[in-house]
Amino acid sequence: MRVLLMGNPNVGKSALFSRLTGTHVVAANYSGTTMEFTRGKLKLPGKTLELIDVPGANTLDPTNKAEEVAVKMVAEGDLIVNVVDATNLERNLKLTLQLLQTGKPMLVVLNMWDEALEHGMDIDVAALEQRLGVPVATTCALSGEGIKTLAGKIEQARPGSVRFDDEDLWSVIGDIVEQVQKIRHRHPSVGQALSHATVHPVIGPFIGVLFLFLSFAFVAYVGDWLHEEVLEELFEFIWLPVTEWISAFLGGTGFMHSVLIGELIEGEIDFELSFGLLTTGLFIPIAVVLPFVFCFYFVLSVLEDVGYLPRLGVLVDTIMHRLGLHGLSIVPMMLGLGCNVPGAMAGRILETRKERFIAMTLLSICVPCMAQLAMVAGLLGPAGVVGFGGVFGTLFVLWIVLGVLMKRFIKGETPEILVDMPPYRLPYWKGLFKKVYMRMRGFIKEALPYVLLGVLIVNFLYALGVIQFIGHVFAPVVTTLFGLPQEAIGALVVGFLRKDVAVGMLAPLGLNVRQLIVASVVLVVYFPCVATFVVLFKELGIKDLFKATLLMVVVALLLGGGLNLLLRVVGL
Amino acid sequence: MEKTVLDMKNGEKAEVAAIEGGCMLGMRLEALGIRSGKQVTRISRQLLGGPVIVAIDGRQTALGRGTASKIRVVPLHC
Ligand SMILES: Nc1nc2c(ncn2[C@@H]2O[C@H](COP(=O)(O)OP(=O)(O)O)[C@@H](O)[C@H]2O)c(=O)[nH]1
Repeated sequence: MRVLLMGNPNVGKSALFSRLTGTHVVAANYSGTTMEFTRGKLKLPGKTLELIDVPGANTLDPTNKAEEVAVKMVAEGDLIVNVVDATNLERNLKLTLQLLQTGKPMLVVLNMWDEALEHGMDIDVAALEQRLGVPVATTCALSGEGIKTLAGKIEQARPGSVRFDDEDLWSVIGDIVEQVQKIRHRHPSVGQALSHATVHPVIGPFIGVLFLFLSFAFVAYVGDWLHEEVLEELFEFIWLPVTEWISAFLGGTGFMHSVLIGELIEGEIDFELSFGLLTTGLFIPIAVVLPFVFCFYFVLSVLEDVGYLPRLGVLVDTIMHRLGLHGLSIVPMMLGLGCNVPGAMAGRILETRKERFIAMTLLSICVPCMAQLAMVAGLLGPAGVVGFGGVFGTLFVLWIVLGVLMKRFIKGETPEILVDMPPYRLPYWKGLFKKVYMRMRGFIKEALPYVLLGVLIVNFLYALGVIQFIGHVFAPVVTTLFGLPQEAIGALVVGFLRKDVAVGMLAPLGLNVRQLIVASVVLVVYFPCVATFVVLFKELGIKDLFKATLLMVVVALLLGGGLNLLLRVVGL
Repeated sequence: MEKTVLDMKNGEKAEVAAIEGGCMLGMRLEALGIRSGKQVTRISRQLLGGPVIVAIDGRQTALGRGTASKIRVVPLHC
């Protein structure tokens, strides 16, 4: 039997889903998290049912893609569990009544029960059951309260008994709400005051800049601390002796040695420079990149769960419209800073082809992922403020310029922002860490194999002389146009696969400040990594992907050449 | 004395009279609780042509200015 979990966006459906199935689904505090549906197994005493987390829908007369999917899925379900935000009964009941009209066996869940109580709302559950003619359960998906009772009630689901004409929908809803809901007191909460301040036209942007700055500082400092004081130490103390033993066992040279351990630097293994599978191949993703990825996802998940992201979208709406996007496209951009793959996938929430094209192209050209950022930051360390400013300033300006140009030249519309701002909620830490853990696991599963493959390919290509050959062919571009040493071509080749490995390959080349800036910028913009490319293909289609790719190549050539010239002129 | 949400003053309360524009917009707004007969409070308006924030049933919603100018309201005096 197929059970559908349905409800408006952001009512806690994903959280309930993971409670009911034990499968961990990423739950987030902004509308449209669940665009693709997820299925899981719901174990009841004596039987197992199939549970499907249907994308959030406000109505069964579809107004967007998620709702279209939802309508299609209703037809295929045997039983509906309708999740309702208890603090927002009136708005949620429209879908409930529409679902009841389908005549399928149904059960209503009043989630966010904890908040409803806190807000002084009294909902008469028995009266609601009687009016709707279906069982009603109350839950708090965060604490798990009421989940057992809910699971027990699923068997009692039955077709509802409300009958009404479509024109009367709202008056029926008004009537029901009037009867079952009493609001005892509604004093403005701290959350509400904070909500006002964060979207205040003058104070809001200051708070926004402060939040972003604090987030950035947290990632930079805590990430660096974890990297230097924890993971690097662990590698030195535990892993170094192991690799040294292997190195000695392999005799310190030979093909196997260079693949597994890499080159010895002054007779020693250097995790950053040796470039073997077991040395640099493990060190980059685990010791360098992972700490920053962890800190980034932690901060992002806090902002998400607290409910800040839609507000940030409101604050940047005006700027984003200059780039042919609206405020909410800041969400895929922010996600892209973690990893371009989920960023591009989140681009799906945008409505028109124009927006999706602009957002995904900007993302893959101008937004470096955390893996790349961590490596670039390490590489630029010696170049100091000039290096950082040069690279990130260039990327930011490019982001604006490309956006403005695409807004002008890409046909289509950019709709206005229209977004519900969920109340601020304290994050539920256990859920939050679970989410961070899921995202990190996603990163490790995606990244580690590619990094190792990248390192392996580098070693093979060098051993076979392929990189040296490509270096000769493209020497004019690399040396003349970009002003980089010919060996840098190796990094550009590997960058197709994994950017962090590519940046790592620049380390031993002894580049000067100008070359560091040019190489870092070119590596960011010239092409997304393979994994992102695949997602772009799925989301944009072959034609638009071709256009986007062309743009990347042109931008990389112009920008690399231009920067090289400009920096020479200013004397770097 | 009808006007639109865009013309309202911050902190002003009004009742939604009608929503102009396509039926799609009407349905989207309805999903956010904005429909004829509902009471809205204007919270703020972002600078430089940015969105307008309104509250309905204690929930805040951000609307683009084009959208805000399509929502006709009658001010409530209380
Ligand atoms: N206070 C409270 N918060 C909840 C509850 N259920 C979910 N949330 C939070 O509400 C937000 C939206 O939940 P999510 O599962 O992503 O909603 P979905 O969009 O319907 O799948 C998340 O920040 C959850 O942590 C609940 O019962 N009580």
